[in-house]
Amino acid sequence: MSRVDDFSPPLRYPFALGPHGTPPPVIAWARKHHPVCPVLLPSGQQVWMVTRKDDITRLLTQPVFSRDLVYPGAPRFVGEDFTAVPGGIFNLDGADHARIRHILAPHFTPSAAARHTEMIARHAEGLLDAMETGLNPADLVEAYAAPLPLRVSCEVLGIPLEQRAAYLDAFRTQTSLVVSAADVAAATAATLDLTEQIIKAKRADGDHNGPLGALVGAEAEGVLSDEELHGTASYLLVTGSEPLVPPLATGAVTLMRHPDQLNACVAEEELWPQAVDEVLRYHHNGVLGLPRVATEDVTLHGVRIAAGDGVCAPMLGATWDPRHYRHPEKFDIHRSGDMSATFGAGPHFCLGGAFARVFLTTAYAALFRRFPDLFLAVPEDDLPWQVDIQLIRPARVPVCW
Amino acid sequence: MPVAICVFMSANTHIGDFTVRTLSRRHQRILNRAEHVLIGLSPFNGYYKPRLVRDLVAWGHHHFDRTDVFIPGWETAHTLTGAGMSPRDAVHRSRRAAKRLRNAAVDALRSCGDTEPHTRVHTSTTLASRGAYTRLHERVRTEYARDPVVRAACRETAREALRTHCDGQPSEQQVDLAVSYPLAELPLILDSPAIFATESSVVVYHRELGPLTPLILGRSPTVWPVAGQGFAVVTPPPTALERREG
Repeated sequence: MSRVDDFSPPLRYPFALGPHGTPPPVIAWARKHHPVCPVLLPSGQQVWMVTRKDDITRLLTQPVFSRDLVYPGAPRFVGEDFTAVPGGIFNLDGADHARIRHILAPHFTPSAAARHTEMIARHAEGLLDAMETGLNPADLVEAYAAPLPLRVSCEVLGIPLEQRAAYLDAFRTQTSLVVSAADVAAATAATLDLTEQIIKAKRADGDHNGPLGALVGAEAEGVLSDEELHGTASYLLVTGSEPLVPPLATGAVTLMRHPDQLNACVAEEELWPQAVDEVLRYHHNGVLGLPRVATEDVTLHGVRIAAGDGVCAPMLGATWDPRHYRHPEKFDIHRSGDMSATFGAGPHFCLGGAFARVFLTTAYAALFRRFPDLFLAVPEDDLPWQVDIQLIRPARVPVCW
Repeated sequence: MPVAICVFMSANTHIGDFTVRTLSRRHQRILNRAEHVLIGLSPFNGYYKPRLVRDLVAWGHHHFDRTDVFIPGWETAHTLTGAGMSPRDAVHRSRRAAKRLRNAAVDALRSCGDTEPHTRVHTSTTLASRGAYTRLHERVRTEYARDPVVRAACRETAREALRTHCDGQPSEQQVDLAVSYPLAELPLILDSPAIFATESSVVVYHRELGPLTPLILGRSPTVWPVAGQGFAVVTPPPTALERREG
């Protein structure tokens, strides 16, 4: 692991993680010494990184920092990933963003998310049945944490599992940090191909159910353009499942590493929502957060961020900010405070936040109800954390019961 | 360096003392490049005592540019469950065995002056953070399902491992349980250069790998070792007592 005195700006992303999937130590260093810190991305571009919670909130709520990266030369991690897709809700600001969000919002409210509980539990139980009758020890990622989000997301979006599974490599390439810019662009194009197939099928079936159906229906009514339909639908495909793998896998590891708190949840299932909130504070699913771009010059902590500069806000900077969370390095399911910060702030507050909470609550409860004595089959220091993707996740979690 | 290896390979040498045997001229050439050695250790059989691990690591450190050590991972528990042990006991026993080997390897590396010995000791779990390993592992699992050569090699290796833990011939169901162990190790004899980011690499073990030999020699139609992959059997010299006993 890097020592604190090893760091010097500009930092090079990706950063070395802390132990057990905790935030890279460089984030705490930057928060203390360089609250606006230059970072070199794998693409060769340089962006600013802000790491204090108050600054991050400003960044996410002020219109001067735009999400519109749909132009040549925009800051990218590697290449033209989904931030380059025109019309995607992620890439829009102001009224256009609000108009599309208004179409999707009813499908992502807490009560809409809660309606999926039974479906999530059904898929969880199916996977746990197979795990229980298979090899013991087993890899929790392969048996549960990877397939469950995909199955659930396919149901939510109303698309066949096989069709989407065939494009998994494209989704993964879009978040990879060790592929070429051309690979990322090709993966984005492949995802748009899949999006086109799905939209075509939904149009043919007149299927206006679920978030994708709502987008198709809204396009038919002229509420959004064809470009916005495709861009936003492809965004939902990218973000619907893979980003849920990290908290499911990493959270399970952290819970097993804190058996007292895990046992409390197993004994009293009402504690799961609190545990989920703390997992989400403790482990964001990614490190740096996709860039925004300044639309005019801004000075922050004496650093001039020029118009056109990219700025990143690692949510782990906010959720581990000791000014807001006492002993942030302590995993404590009984913690109070702002437990939504992991989902961001402002107009782009994570659309799927309520859904993620319902998903994880249901998934953890099912897993540990089935295997209350689940334990790691390897030393915790052996767990392999993937270093080549934007997400923080273990490649494997061997477990025994 | 390569000269030292060649001298070293002749029988009854003084420095390093180990006997090294390769399976082909190609492996011999790779060995002589002496770029990277991966020392494979195995649990449960009592062969890899701390002193032998120390001597092996010192040998690797002396003769190769880079030395890494591989100790079997959680899949060894499947051999034990296949032999009838409860999963919980199997995992605990596997972890204890791996810990002993790891401690010996870390101590050995440290005594060679390695300042980060932990980073040089690997298991199938730790290697899963490397794309080269996971891609190969996925590939061999796929080929296991359809290539009879891969399948036979892995099943016979699993069967051999089971025989050391149970009486009689293991059943096919027991082999099904235990086959994850050879599958996890196969990537290392096919492309350890990619996994350890080197042009050539020699995997060394204390005996031939028996049923895996056809794969080491490239006899499978679907998976074969890369050009820079070597394999060698490395054995220590006989002890004074063994020498006296002839």
